[in-house]
Amino acid sequence: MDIDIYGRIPYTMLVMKRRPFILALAFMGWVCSVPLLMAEGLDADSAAGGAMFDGTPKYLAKVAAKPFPPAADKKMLATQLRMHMTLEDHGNPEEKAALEAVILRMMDSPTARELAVKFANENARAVVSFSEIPGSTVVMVDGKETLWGTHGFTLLDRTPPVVKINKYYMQHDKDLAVRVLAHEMMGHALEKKRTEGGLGDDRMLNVDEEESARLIGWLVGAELYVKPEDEVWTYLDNPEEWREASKMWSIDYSLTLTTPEMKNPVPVYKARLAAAFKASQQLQQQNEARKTFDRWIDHFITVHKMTPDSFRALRESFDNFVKDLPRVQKLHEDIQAALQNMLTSISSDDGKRFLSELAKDAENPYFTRKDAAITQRRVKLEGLMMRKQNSVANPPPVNGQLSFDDLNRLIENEDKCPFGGLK
Amino acid sequence: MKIRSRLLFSLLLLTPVFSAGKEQPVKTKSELAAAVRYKIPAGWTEEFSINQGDPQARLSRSLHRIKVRLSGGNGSRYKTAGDFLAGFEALSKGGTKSEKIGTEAVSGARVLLYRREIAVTLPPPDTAGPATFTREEFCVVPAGKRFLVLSYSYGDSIPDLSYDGFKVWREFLKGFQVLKEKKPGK
Repeated sequence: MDIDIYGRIPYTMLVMKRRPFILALAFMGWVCSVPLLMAEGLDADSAAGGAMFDGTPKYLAKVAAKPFPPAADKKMLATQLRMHMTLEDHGNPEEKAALEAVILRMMDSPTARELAVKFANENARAVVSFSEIPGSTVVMVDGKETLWGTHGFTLLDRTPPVVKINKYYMQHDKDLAVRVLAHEMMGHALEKKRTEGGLGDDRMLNVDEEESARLIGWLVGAELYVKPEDEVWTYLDNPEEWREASKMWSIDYSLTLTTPEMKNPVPVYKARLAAAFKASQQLQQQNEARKTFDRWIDHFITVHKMTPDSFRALRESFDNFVKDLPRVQKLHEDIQAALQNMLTSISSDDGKRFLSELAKDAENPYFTRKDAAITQRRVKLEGLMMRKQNSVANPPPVNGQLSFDDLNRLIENEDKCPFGGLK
Repeated sequence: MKIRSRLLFSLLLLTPVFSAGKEQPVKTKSELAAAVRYKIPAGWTEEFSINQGDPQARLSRSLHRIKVRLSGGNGSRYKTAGDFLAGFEALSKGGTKSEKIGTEAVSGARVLLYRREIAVTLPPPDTAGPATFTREEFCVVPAGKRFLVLSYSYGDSIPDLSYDGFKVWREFLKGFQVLKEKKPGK
């Protein structure tokens, strides 16, 4: 069976094997993640750990009424949260110590403290470990070692959910591990617990699931002074456009709906399918544009005898696009197929029943509460990020490298040049 | 240097935001039509939506995009133009301030023209990696008790050599008109 690096079955496999419309939902990201490795007895260990703890209920009752338990209680809260977690250390005491440190550090964040109380009060659970994640690369960014790769993920088909954090964060950027843990555990694992016995599939189909988890991670990060990623600024710039853009980021996201959209998803999916098709076509145009620039660079090197090295940065950016093109093209095709399958599925009798249930579920107070929590967290994040304005300077241009502006000027001047332009 | 895969963020600009039937775009169109008049550049298309509580027209040609947004009304994210200029939509890459690049006469008012960098590609979800950026130019134009945000961007990190979108944008601004609010009859 084809399984991706995170243990998920590709969408197409699911569609082939099971009833399509349910499967399209079942695929929704993390839900349909299929285990590569099954650690036995985790539930039992976790439950036993919880039962051993003494004193939690009293403490929880005391702090639950407060919006943000005080930082002075962080050790108590970490201990309490720890009782709802199983730490997988692969027999390595250093891993266990690093995980314990991440949990304790997380309690420095008021948002994490608030959610830790809820996590424990609602008896949610999670299995957490550091994990080698394929495809991770360490690069130098602004003179600092930085991970390029997946931060972490949650296998939500497990009970309790299994959270994996990139092992890179065991040694480097430890506060990023805190943000990842908050996103996965407080964002996804807690919500799974909240919808046990109903709404599970609809929860994953609702765009709130990811937006809420992201906001939790970003808030915890902002409270711990973690340098915000570009996506945080993009989100705050225009949350509606961020939400729309996210539909083309993965097959999972392409099927997500806002709560109002759940009431009538057919026109939404149709519009999205048309947009995905248009995007595929534009990708080709973008590739052609890069080829034209590349030919201009060849022209300046061969005809005008300019130094090839001065075009290195520009050529790198073309190469990156070209290298990534097959993946993006495939993603666009898969998204179109997923949307088409969804539209076909929901036009069946089963699908119509599903649409009717989906519309009914859109009225569920769970989504109303979640929408309200998202708005509240966004306002809080805006407040924190406004204070961070101008905190990140753009890296200076690389010495001796031409920019697109420089190249454009060269091309414009070419009209006046006796050598005569691009052949 | 190995670059991680990226995702096209610019695609957001292709996807209509409206979704609740056709009534909303029609209402948006009439609301904008009552407030402004402009010429759609040759070869461009126009679509309407509500964005952050504001009626918005989005003109596009390939990845070139001009947005006309009537802000400051009921349900808007911003009460005043000052709120907008102090907000996140007026910030550039990394939360830095937008650059003032000059002034432009728009509908009889001289307005400041700003430039900022906006993301066009972001790393895949839950993944660390590089983003790519493009330039957006924007200005804020008074419209009675409300205000307009006009902007132009090209949705790729490399410019379009075959079409001068910035030139079209400046021409668009020259022809842009804010209509006077009709006073209610006696």
